[in-house]
Amino acid sequence: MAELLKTEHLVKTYEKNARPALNDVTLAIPEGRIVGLLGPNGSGKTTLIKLINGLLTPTSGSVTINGYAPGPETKAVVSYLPDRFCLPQDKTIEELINYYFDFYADFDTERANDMLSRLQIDPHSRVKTLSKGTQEKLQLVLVMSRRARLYILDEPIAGVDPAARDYILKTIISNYQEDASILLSTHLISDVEPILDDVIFIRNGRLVLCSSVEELREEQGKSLDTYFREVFAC
Amino acid sequence: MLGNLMKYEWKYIWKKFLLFCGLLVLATIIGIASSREFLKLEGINNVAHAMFSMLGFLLYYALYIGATLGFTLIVAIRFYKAVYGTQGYLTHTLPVTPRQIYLAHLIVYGICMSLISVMTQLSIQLVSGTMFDGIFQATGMGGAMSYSSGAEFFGDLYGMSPFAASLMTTLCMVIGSFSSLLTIYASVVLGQYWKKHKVWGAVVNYILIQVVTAIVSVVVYLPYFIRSIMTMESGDPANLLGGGFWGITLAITIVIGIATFLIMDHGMTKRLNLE
Repeated sequence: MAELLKTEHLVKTYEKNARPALNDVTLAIPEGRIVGLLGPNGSGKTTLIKLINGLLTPTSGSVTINGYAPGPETKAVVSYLPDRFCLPQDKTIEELINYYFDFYADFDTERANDMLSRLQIDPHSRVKTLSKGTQEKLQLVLVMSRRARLYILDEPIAGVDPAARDYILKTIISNYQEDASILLSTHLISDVEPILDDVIFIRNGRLVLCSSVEELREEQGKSLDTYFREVFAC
Repeated sequence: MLGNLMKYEWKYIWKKFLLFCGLLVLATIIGIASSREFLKLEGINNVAHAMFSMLGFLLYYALYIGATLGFTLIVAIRFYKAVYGTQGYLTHTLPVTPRQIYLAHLIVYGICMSLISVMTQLSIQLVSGTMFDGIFQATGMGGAMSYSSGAEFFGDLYGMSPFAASLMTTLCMVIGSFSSLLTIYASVVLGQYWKKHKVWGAVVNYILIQVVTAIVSVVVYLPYFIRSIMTMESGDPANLLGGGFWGITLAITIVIGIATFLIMDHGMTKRLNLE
């Protein structure tokens, strides 16, 4: 399988002489895989994701997506769901759909409208009038309405109730292309375990494990969730 | 993609821009009306009348300063929020380069601020023109005489015709608007290097850049003004605001513009670190 995302000896230090938030991370994600980026809070998951998206400048090392360093070429094929709400509050949903359509060649307006109608969200509503939960769903709808090569979802199910988690995971699974990959960061392992092909364990900014979920289950003879609890036991 | 970015910046600002333009027009009307009222000499004997005119002038200045400062503040906040606030997560993951992002801001808001500057200049000319015209009429100096002596005064001061001086001022204001915008953007970018209080960092950086600019300006202007004063003392027309003055003003503005542009470019292309 061709490599879609590759990082080599990636290091990120926020302050001089401080412990690196990410230390010598080398990994590769091939096409057509759903990869869980797992680790406890503060392990460096968001830092890695931000480096891949070009939102942080690496201290050293490199990131390439489809052979390109983060830039317009990679952003055209990566659909990113940040760990916070980043859409402008003063716009209507319809305006946001037009905004995405104008910038992303792979944005599918029909798919977005279909998902919105199933969620019974009125496209004429202004973002600021929506509840927090609906705002998060809207952001997910916009991200998953792109026919991207790589979806990067940072904590998409954190802070939502179990019913909403199911909806979010169902939306993710039913809306991505088979040849695309998903990098999904979370610490809620049991919820995502059934959908993952591969896992990356990260602790204190270092890569602990990079493996196929199936192989891991066979080797360890236990579920991913149980294994995670053992590896990251306090 | 630059066109798309500019389209969305224009969509964001056009209503606010028109509102501020409306305020400036209103201020100008108040300024002209106050000039006319103030120059009705019989008003001097009427305290209430004089007070009304003075209040009109105060309102003119307050509206002008408020509108220009308010617009500048909106532009600065917009840049901060779109580039470094939570919305930055959307802006920086669009398939565009960081240069296209800041160029869209620079072009759209630079044009808006240039238009506001030109409106300011026109307004000052209209209000002061009304006032001088009134003074000429009131003192019996009206007619061609006063205008020819006015032109002569302009010639001595600027070393050029009033029209040429007006064009030069407009050119400086347009370049100055872009330079001011770059100073604001560079201050915001430099504010990101502060560990905490990044907004206050931007404000402090802005003040520091202004102080440095003021010191450099004094150092550069000083020899020119000393030479001009010596020329005046020898009885020749000094052209205090002549070609040399405009040349220095433009050079300082352009140098500051280039320096702040390089700071902004470096910060956004090489040192981007969104919190």
